[in-house]
This record gives sequence, structure tokens and C-alpha cells, in this order.
Amino acid sequence: MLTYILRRLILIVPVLLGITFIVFALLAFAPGDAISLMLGTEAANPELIERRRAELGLDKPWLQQYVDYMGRLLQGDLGRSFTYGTPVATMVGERLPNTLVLTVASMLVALAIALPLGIISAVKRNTVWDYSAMFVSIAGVSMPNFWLGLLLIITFGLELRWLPIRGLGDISDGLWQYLRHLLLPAVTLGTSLAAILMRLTRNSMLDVLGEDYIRTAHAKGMARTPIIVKHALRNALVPVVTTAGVQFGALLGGAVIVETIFSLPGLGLLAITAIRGRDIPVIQGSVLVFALCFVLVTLLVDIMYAVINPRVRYA
Amino acid sequence: MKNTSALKVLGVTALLAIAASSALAQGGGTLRIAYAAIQQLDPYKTASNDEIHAFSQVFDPLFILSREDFSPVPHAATSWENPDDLTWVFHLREGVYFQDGNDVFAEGEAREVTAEDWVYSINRFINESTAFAMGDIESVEALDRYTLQITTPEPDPFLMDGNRLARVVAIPHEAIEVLGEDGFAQRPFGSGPFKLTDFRPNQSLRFERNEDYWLPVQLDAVEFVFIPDPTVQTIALEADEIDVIPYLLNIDEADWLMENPDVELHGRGGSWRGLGFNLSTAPFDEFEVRDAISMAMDIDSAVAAVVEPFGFRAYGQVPDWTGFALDPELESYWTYDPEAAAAQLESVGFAKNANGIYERDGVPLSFSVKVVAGSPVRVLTILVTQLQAFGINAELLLQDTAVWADDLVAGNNTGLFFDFSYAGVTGLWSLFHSSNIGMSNTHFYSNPEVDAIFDEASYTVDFEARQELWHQAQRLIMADRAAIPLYFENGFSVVSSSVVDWVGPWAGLNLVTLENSTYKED
Repeated sequence: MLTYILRRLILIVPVLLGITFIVFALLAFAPGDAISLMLGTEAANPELIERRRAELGLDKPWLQQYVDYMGRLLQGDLGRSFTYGTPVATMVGERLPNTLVLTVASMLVALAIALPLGIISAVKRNTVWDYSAMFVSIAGVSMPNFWLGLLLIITFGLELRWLPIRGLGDISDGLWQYLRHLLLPAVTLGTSLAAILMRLTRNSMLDVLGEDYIRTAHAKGMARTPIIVKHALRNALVPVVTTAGVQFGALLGGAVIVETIFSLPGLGLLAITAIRGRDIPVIQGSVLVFALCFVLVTLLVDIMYAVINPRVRYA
Repeated sequence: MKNTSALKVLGVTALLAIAASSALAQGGGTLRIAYAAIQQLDPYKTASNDEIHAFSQVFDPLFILSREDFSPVPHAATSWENPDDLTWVFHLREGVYFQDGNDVFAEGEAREVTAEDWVYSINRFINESTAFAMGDIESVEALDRYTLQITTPEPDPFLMDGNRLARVVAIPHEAIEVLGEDGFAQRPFGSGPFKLTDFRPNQSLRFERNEDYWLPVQLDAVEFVFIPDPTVQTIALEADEIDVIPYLLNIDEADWLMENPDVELHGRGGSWRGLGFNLSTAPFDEFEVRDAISMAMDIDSAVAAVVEPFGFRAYGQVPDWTGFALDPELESYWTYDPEAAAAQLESVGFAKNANGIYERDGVPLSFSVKVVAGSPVRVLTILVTQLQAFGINAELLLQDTAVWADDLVAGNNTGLFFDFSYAGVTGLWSLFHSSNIGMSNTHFYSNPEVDAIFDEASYTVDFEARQELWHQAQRLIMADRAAIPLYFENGFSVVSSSVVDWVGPWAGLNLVTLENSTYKED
């Protein structure tokens, strides 16, 4: 197991190298000039534009720029934002925790919805409970999250005035206030994942509940609840955990839209702002960090899979 | 009798003083203004409306543009005159001080703003401004402590335009020397009615009252609230989480906002909406093709259906809020006449193919209209549908603003495109003078006659004569079909009904001036 983990950690390096190269190449050939956008095209002095381009090293061939960037990256330097002048590492460090909090909260919301509904749906198959849960699942996966976000804002923020509609609040104002700010964004982001996991939980439970050892437990006179919780659920969770981990990447991507709708100061919103402004170092830094988070979570999922299912052994 | 008159004057003065103090006593509160992106606050390094609204709280301009008719109104300058056509003399207000309690001026050690500061500020604008240009300046000098003189090589009646001298603000040279360019952009200070107390780009931004300002400031503070999505901004206003949306981006929302008794729409200025042709690209380099396209669209109906009453049909590019009157002659330049359009196309060899699309030499008349998101998309959708029904294979291509702007400037596949939306009097020059090809003249339009008229107008001091020249240039441009004017869209601020004495932004967001002093009612 340790060898496996070490090997996976080492493999992260070429993966990230490949990502940096792809992103760099895409940005080099993407339409939209960073300097023109930064300075304003209509009235900007052409000499000023060229001077600024040289200051930022954008007058060099893009391969040379990539080599320079990798040289700095290997020393832990993510560069400075073209727009703010701030070190990218500082900007990412400020925003990443907010995105992680949102993503983890969304995952918890998704599991809190999916697991109970999936279990009930499986145990009470082909009843009104099952059909209701199916409806919730289909609705959840069908609603675009930007639409759902606006709907929740209008309902709970504007009409009912129960919850704030923007920002993350400050933890120093109290945990409850912080959670109130987090609730709508987490539900928005977690709903579609809840729908997917609910279906998966249901199907997985149905498979497990049909196994011989479950029938044996029933035959021995064991109560229903312990059978479901102690015996069936543990095995049914294996594919659910795997899928949830894989879907973490989708949550990170969805965070971009949710952070914009709810004005959350996260990495996703930073990335989208940087893309609009062609702030190349920030784009590269954000994508790199997103990629690193994704590969680490994927590794974590694989480890948890082995923990949950002792039959799994990694070479 | 004299004693009675004196008593009357005293009485009236007392009443005015009581009224003034009562008005001040009503004021206060923290004004919460929505914004989508604020990254820096150097007044010379941005064309972003959000950033302009923000830094306006910290700085004073020489003059502001009147809330009534956009004419220059005294602010840091009390008056100005032209001793001759090449000279501008500004008399500065005494007792205007730079803010203290910052990295440069300790508490109680602020100094007065003088003419030398304005010389520095104007020169910095000329050398450093990345978004606006001053034009040709011969010299800038301080005649004495409170008198500033600017001379130009030629008469320059546009010097006081909203995009030129109106953009200059008083900046202390010590701030740049001590903080550096980047530091000043993050921790600016000037002589304005509010002091910056908190700024984290795209997170938090707060200004508090400058107690030493030369005018009474009623608001306690101004807070800019980060809400990147325009729809959420509107919802936040209705939920009383903010007080102001300085510029309503989606004019479509104006209808239902007007039904809310807690919200008011304040109109001021607006934008021009038009379609531009890239005259360097075939077949748009042919007059007949451009003319046919303009006649194949029922623009009046599309504008009436989508825009009115929040805008009106445009037949030129120069709006009436700039000071120049609308030219009544231009309406006759534009007609909806599909038969005449067809005849124009056929006269240059186009004919309908089996699919009902006009083509010539086997090449169909087909193009994508590049546009950015917003309310113009609805109007353009109707027009593009009309073109398709007529027999031109047109479609909309929605683009990111940065890509759209770059494509227009480079002329990258831009036969017909949604044009830049200049709203000031000099927009016509920006869009159509040949010297701006490769920058704002994205039509690649070059007409020496038009250039000559523009050049002459730039030096014509007499307003009526200048207006007539501007109209002449506009008529030639429209007759050439360099662009197709669609409509003027009124600009609206959306403001909570608790906000009093609001004046919408124009070349700055001025909350405290001789004309207005914004505050919130309890």
C-alpha cells in the first residue's frame, strides 16, 4: 500500500507538467490580447502597449515564455498577477480555502440527501417512496446549477428573507452566521451530485440486498435495521464513495459558476475573472492548483476504497 | 425702511441656514453600491466603470458635468476663461486639502491643493493614462498658487469633454513617490469627500467621510459591494442588501423594476447601439451591399418592440445628451425597403440560389454578426431573422467582450458586427476618423473629406459652427453606410427609494458636489 501511494505521488509530477504545458499553449493561441485588454485599446499609446508587453515578458516567443515560467515554478514561484501585481501564490492561498470549504460542504449536502433517499428508495422499492425519490433524482440532475442558484436566491433571500444571498460571511461573526452564508451555495452545488449518488446508492443497495448473506441474516432472525445499516450499507457504499471522489472534480468545476452567482471569494471566481481579463499567471496558477486538488482527491478515494473493501490490494 | 429691509435679509438668511442645517441633519448612513469587478483604484489606469465609480470618492476633478445638461460645472476650479483661442485659465478653489491620516500625510499634516499639483496631475495624465487621452497640449503651468493655465497648439473646443480634461483629478506627487505606482493603485488618496479605509480587490471596498472636505458630506460611508452577476445585483437591491446599481446592464429588467415602489430608476445619458461594417472586407467594401443590408431590416419595429420606452431609434451616432442636437435630416437616410434592397444586390450580380439565399459567383452572402451579451442581443436576433427571411444567411455569434473587442480592432472576420457603444460627443470621431484605424475605427473607414471636416471641427470654437461641421461629417458617414445606427439606449441607475439626491454617473460618480449631496434617509 505504501509503495502504491508513493508511486501515485510521484506520478503527480508528470501529470501537472502536462497540464501546465497544455494550458500555456492554449493561452498562447487563444484570442484576446492581455495587454490591449489591460490598457484599453481605444486610447492606449502603442508605445505604452509595447513597453508593457516587454515588461511582462510577453514579447518573447511562447516556448521561451513557457521555459521561463517552468524555471520559476520549480522554485515555487507562481509569478505575479498582470492585473493586480500581487503574487499569484498569495491570491490562490487566500481563495483556495473558500473553494474547498464550499466543495466539501456541497459533498456533505449531496451525501446527506443521497444516502437516506437512496436507502429508502431501495428498501421500499416500487412504492410511492421509491417513485418520489426518483423524481427528486431526475429533477436534481436536470436543473442547471446557475438556474437553481438564482431560484434559491429569489426564494430564500428575496421573498422569505431567511438567508443571505451573497458572500461567505466572516467566521469571526460566529459559526451559525458563516453556515447561513454557506447553505444556499452548498445546496446549489451539491444538488446535481446528490441526484447522481442517490441513484447509485439505490442500485447498489438493491444489488447487495439480493445477496445470499443478507438472506441468511434475515433467516437468522436479525432485525431489519441492523441488516441494512451494518451489513448491506457498508458494501453498498463502495461504488458510492468511488463515484463521489471522482465527482469531486465536477464539484470544483461547478464551483466556478456558484461562486459567481453567490459572489463567493473563491478560486473559481478568481479563475473566471482572470480568464476574462487574460491575466495569464493567475489562470495558470488557478488551473495548476485545481489539477493538484483533483489528483490528490483521486488518490485519497483510492486509499479509502482499499480501507472500505479489504479485499482490494494495491501492488 | 432700511432697518426693515435689513431685518428681512437677516430673517431670510436665518431661514436658509435653518433649512440647510435641517437638510444636513437628515443625512447620513452608509451607501452600498454594487460592483462586478474592482481591481485597482489609480484614476489614470482604467476605463472600467466600476473602478471609476470607486475612485471618484477619493479624488476631486477640476469640474464635473452638470446633472441637467452635461455642461461643465465648477468643482475644484471655481471658474475658467479663454483669454484667447489657444489658452485656458482655471481659477482654483482655495481651502481644498489633500487627505491626511495615510502613508504620506500624517494626521493633521495635510497640505493644500495648489496649481502646481494640477500641473503635476495633468502631466501625469498625459504621460500615464492608459484609457483616455488629453489631445494636443502645448503647455501646462501654474501662474500663481491658485491659477492654472493650459495652452494648446490649435484651438481645442473639446478640451472640456467628458473623456478628456474631465478625467483629470488632483493627485499629490508625494503619493506616487512614497507608495509607487502599484502601491498608489491599491492605497490611493486625494482631496475627495471620502477616504479609503479598506480595499481588497474584488472582495471588500469601503470609504469613510472626509471630515475636512470643503463641502459638507452627509453620508457616513460608502461601501462597494462585490456582486459579479448583474441579475443577482438586481435581486440584492430588492432584498435591501445594497442601495445602488450605478448602471443597469440589462435594460430588459427596467420594466419590472419600475413596478417596485421601493426602487427608483434614474436616467442619465446612455449608450449608442449600432452595427458596423468592416469596409476592408469583401463584399462589405461595396456600397450596394451595405445599402441593401440596411434596407433589408425593419429596425424601427425591432427597436419599438424591444427597447422603447427605455431607448429610442437612432439615425446617427451622436446622441442629444452630448450637447449637440440630433440631426433631423438623418432620418431620411434610412428606410426599410426589401424590394429596393433586392434591386441593389441584383445590380451588383447577386441572385437567389435554390435555397433562397443571395449568392454571386457561387458564393452565398453569408456572415456572422459578432456581439457581446446584453440587451442588444434581443434586437439583433430580430434583425438577423429578418435578414434570413430576406435571403441573406446571417447569424449571431456571441463572444466574450475581450475577444469581441480584439476581433473588431484586428478586423478578424468582421464583415458586419455589433459596434463599440461610444456615448459622448467625440465618439463619432473615435469610430470614423481614419487616424483611428487599428484602434477605435474598427470599420477601417477612411474618407478624406470626413477627416478634413473632423479636423476643422476640432479647432472650431464657435459652438453652432462646430455642431454644423459635426452634423456634416455624420451625414457623410451615414450616406457612405459605414455603419447602421440602431438605437440610443438610456442609461439608468437603479436606486433604493431611501437614497436622496442621487445623480447618476457620468465621467465619474460624484456624490458630493455644489449641485448635489447624496445621503440615505433613515
